[in-house]
Amino acid sequence: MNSSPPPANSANGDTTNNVVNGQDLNLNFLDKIRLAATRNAKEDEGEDLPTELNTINSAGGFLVVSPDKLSVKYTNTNLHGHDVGVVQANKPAPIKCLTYYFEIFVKDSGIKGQIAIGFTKESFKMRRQPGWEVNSCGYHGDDGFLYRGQGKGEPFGPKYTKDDTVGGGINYASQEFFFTKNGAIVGKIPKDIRGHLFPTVAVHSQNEEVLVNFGKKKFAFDIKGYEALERNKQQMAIEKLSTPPNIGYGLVKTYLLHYGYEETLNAFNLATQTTVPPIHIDQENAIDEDDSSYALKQRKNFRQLVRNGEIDTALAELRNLYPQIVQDDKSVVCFLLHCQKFIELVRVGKLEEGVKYGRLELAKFVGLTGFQDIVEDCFALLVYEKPEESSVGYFLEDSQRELVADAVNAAILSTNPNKKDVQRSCHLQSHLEKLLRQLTVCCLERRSLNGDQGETFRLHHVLNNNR
Amino acid sequence: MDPRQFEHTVVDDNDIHSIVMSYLLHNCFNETADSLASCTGVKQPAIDRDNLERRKQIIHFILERKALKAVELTEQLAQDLLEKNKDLHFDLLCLHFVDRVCAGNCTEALEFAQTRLAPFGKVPKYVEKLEDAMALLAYEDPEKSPMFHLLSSEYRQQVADNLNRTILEHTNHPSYTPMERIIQQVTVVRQYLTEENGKDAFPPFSLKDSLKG
Repeated sequence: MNSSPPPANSANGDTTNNVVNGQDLNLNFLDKIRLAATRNAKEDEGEDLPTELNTINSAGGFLVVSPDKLSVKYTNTNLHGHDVGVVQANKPAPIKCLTYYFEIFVKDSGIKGQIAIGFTKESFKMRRQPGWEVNSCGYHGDDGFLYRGQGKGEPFGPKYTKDDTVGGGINYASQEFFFTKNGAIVGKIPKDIRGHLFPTVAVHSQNEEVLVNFGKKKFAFDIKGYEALERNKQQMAIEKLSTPPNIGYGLVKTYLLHYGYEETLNAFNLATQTTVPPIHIDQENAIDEDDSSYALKQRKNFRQLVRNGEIDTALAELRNLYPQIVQDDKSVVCFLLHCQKFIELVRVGKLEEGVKYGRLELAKFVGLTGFQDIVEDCFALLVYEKPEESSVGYFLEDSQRELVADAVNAAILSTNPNKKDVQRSCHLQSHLEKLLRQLTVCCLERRSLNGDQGETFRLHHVLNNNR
Repeated sequence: MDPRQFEHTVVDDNDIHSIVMSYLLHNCFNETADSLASCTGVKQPAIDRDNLERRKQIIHFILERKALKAVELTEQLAQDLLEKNKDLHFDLLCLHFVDRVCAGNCTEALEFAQTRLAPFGKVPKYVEKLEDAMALLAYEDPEKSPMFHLLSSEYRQQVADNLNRTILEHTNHPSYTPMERIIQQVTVVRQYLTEENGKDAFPPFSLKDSLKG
C-alpha cells in the first residue's frame, strides 16, 4: 500500500501546463484506454480448491488413507500424545471468497473417539491434534472442546461420535472459525491465524474412521444460507444509512455540467423545475457547482467535433481558443488527439496517410513510458484487413472518441482562471467519478488490510445486484 | 481528502453513465434519460415504460397538490398497495387535508378529516401527526403555524419519493438507486476502516469533504 503523500502542487499560477497532480489524473485517461483493452478478458482465474486428502505429508504409519483420498482410518494403537494420525487437504482453503467450509462424517469412533476437525498451516507437526500446537485450531469429538494453540482447550460444544457429521469453516468477513454438528452451528471463535490454512482431520485411537466431504456431496449444513445471512448483515448496515436528501440531484447536475452535456442539462433543469422544489441543499452537503458551467458551450462544441471524428478542426480550434492546452505537444491531450487522428485515417482506409501521420506525430511518444504500449497497439490496427474485429478493435469504437472528448473537456475545464491550481486539477473528474473511485479504493484497502481475504470488490456487482 | 492509491484506480465510464441513467429513470425523468442516451451513446436499460409513466403522473399529482388524484392512480396501479402501506396511505390523505386547508377550503377539509382521517386516530402512532394537521385549522395563516413544514414542498417531495419507492418495490423493481447504494456503501466502508484501524490511519469520513475540490 502506497502511504507516501502525493507530490506537492506547484505554487505558481502557471497555466500552460497541468500541475503535477493534474498530469497524474490526465494519465488516468490513458489507463482508461488500457481498461478498454482488457474489457473482454476473462474474470480472475479461480483459486485452486481442496478436493481430497493429502497422502504425501500425512502422518503415515499411524493411519491409512483410502484410494479415493476421501477417508482416513487410524490403524495404529495409540500410546501417547505424539502419535496422532493427522491428514490435511491437498490444497489450502481459498481466500478470495466469503467463506470456506468442509465436513467430516464419523464412520467409526474406534476405541476412544478422539477425532478432530480443524485448520492447520503447512508447517504443522503432523503427529499432534489440530489445536494442540500454535497456529492451528481443532474441534475435538471426545470432549467437545475447542483447541487453539495451547495444550488445554476450552469448552465449546457437544461431543461427537459415530454417525455424526461435523463441519469446519472460515468466515472471512468476520474473520472467524465456525463449526457445525449435524447441520447446526455449534459455535465460532475469532481467527487470529494469518496466511493459508489447510482443512485438517485427525484420528487417534484404533479403528477410528472418518469420511471427508470437500463439496462433492451435499453438505448437512446449509452453508449457502449462512453466507446469505452474512451478506445480509453487511447489506443491512449499508441500507439503514440515510443519505442526504437531494444529493443525487446535485451529483447528476454537476455530472452534466462537467461533461458539458448541454441538451441533457436543459432537459434536466426543465424536468426538475416542476418536480423538485427549490433545493435548499444545506451547506453541509452542498456540491460545488459554481464554476462547473465554465465554457459550457465551447466544451459541448468540442465534444461534437471529436465525436464526429473531425480532429483537424478540433486541433485548429484549440490552437485558436485554448492555445495553452496544445502548447506542449507531448501532453496527454495532444497525444490522444493525434492518436485519434491516426485512428480516423485507418477507419476510412487511408493507411499510407495514416503511417505518415503516425511517424510525424506519434513517433515522439514511443520513448516515453506511459505512452508506448498504446502507440504500439494503435499501430497494430494497420495490420488487419478488418481492424474493427481485431483485438485492438476498441480503438475504432465510439467509446474511444468519447474518451478523447472527455480529455479535451477536462483540459478546457482546467483553464478556468477562477480556480486555484489544486481545485482546477481536481475538476478533471466529475464528483460522481471521484465517489466511485473512493468506493473502489476503500473496498480494496479494507480487503488488503484483511490479508487480502474475502470477496473481491466488483463495482459492477454493486450496480447490477441492486435491490 | 484521502489520496492513497486514489490516482491509480480507473473507473469505467460506462458505469458512471449508467449510474446517472438509473437515477433518472428511478425518478421518472424520462426525457432527460432520452437526451442522455443520445449524448453519451449509452443505451437505456429495458424498463417498464408503463410503470414509469404512471409513477411520473402520480408524483406530479402529489407535487401539484392533488393528493387524492395520486391516491386514485395508485389504487388503479396496484389495488392493495395502500392497504399494505398504511403509513403512506395516511401521509397521502393528510396531504390532501393540508391541500384543502391551504386552498382556504376549511369546511371541506374538516369534513374530509372526519370521514377519512379520523379512523387513523384510533392507532396511537398516527395520533400526533393527525393532531398536528388538525391544528392547522386554528390558524388564519397556516404558513405561520408551528406545523408549517407540512405545507412545504420539501415535505411533499418526501411523500412523493416515499410513494415512488413503495410502488417500485410493490411492482418488483429495485426501490433504491445504485447511486444511493454507492453513497451508502462508501460511507459504511469508510466507517469500518476507521473502526478497524483507528482514526489516525483513517480519519472519519465526510461526504461533503470528499466531494469538494
